[in-house]
Amino acid sequence: MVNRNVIFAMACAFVAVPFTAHAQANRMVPTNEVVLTGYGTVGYLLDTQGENANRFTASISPVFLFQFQDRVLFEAEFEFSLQEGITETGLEYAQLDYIVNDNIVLVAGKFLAPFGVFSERLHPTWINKFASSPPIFGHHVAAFGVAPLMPILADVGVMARGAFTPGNFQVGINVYVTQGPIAEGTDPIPEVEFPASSSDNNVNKMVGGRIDVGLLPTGQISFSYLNGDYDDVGVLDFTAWNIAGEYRINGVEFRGEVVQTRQEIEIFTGFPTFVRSGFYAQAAYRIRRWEPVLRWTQIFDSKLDGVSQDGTGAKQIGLGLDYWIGPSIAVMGAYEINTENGVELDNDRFLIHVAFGF
Amino acid sequence: MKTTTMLISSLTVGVIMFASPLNAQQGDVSEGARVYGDTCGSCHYARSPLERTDRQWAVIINHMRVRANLTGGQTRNVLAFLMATNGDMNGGQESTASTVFSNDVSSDPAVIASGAELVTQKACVGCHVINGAGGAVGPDLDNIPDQRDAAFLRHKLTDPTFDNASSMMPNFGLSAQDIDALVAYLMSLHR
Repeated sequence: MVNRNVIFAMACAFVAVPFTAHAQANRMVPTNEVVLTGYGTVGYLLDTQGENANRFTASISPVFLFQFQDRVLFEAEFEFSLQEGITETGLEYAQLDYIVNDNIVLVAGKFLAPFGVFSERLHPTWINKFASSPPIFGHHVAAFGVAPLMPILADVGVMARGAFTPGNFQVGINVYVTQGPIAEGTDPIPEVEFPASSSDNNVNKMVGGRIDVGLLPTGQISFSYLNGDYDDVGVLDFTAWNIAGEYRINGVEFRGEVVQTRQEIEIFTGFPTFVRSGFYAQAAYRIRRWEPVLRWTQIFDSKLDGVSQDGTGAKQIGLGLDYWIGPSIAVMGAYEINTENGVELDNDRFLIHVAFGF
Repeated sequence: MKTTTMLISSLTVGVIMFASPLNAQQGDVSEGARVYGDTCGSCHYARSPLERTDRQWAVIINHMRVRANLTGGQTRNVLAFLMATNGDMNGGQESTASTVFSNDVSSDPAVIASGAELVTQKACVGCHVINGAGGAVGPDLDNIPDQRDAAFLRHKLTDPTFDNASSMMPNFGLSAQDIDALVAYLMSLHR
């Protein structure tokens, strides 16, 4: 039934497109153009408690943009980073955007899923004001005593994006259908991963969406939701939701996201739900070229069928200081203090890097 | 799951069916400046328009349109702003380096009010703080009377890059009367 509904939705969407896509053209856009942009970092990571090797770090993420006539844009981001002597490569996204009209864009391919705001918009190192990602999201140099709640989510599928400006508000509506999650491991509680594979492990697709309502530049709030089956048979449900907010007052920028994941598991006696939740909250204040940043991240003890699993939560307090050389280049220093159940972990660390967007 | 899928299906179809058509009108520079400061600036600091050519910005702005859920109108406005400030359109402007600008400041309330109206029309708060609110792309103008004289302001409004080649401020092509009104208003701030 799920598949039938998804196919129905996408068919309707694509049938509707020609009726709304009027033949007018935006002639400010060149006929064909390739542009290279992207971002990178070079830095140093100091493990203050000696458990892990101190090391230099480097990464670069070139983004290729190809505009074809007025309505079609192909964009792809690659990621090259150093991981223990090996150059790790990745395809962060490779997507085709079709501009339907002033309000609608259709996207197909591998794309950053609009789940939360950090994941899709803020994770590039020159945009993220802290020298690492919030540990609730697994990406770049996030380090924590507990596995992240969600990855920087990129998946393969199709998406419709809407943009509207009623009054002074900025409203975004995004819905997508993708391959979805898979189970990794055979434990009673397998890890849920999003491999963005060209094949699907079951017949059910993941559906998700995000609604943004903003009164910019003062603030914005976003609600995200996704749901899909992750086991090979297609009976175990995975659901995640996210509330993201930003607010600016007197030069102070506040950001935060709350995430909860609900994973149905199979045991001998039934299908209990494994729930994980957490948040990050960040404040930043720009003083000329300097910008101190304070970030608090917490993952709460997980719950299995409503019963708390003691010792599965963790907390990180991050203190950062950025020096902005230009609008897209900054030296960022940060110190992360990690604790688990009130006990300080042995992986506090100091990070410094130069982040640049180009 | 079924309900969720149907909800999203309906939303997708509904959004597409009721969307307004593409409009080929040219962008508004002032509105583009405001959007650049308010919307683009809500995720990252505004990059200098000088970094890219018109053709490159035209592609990059579509990339950002998708990522940031901008409307087509907003996209055209921001592009118009970027194209007006990246040097291509200002390239033929004659040098104002040797021009002597007046330091006169009108105290006529009508002229000051006219300047305030122009500040609203040109969406200056998209980039500058004025009366305690506004964007961070350009300098805070609330203290401008303490930092600059009227001659500097006239020079800046006539030729925005005269003192800073990478200034992002657009040349609005203001008349001498408009510049007098803006100078009168700006010099009245916090006085």
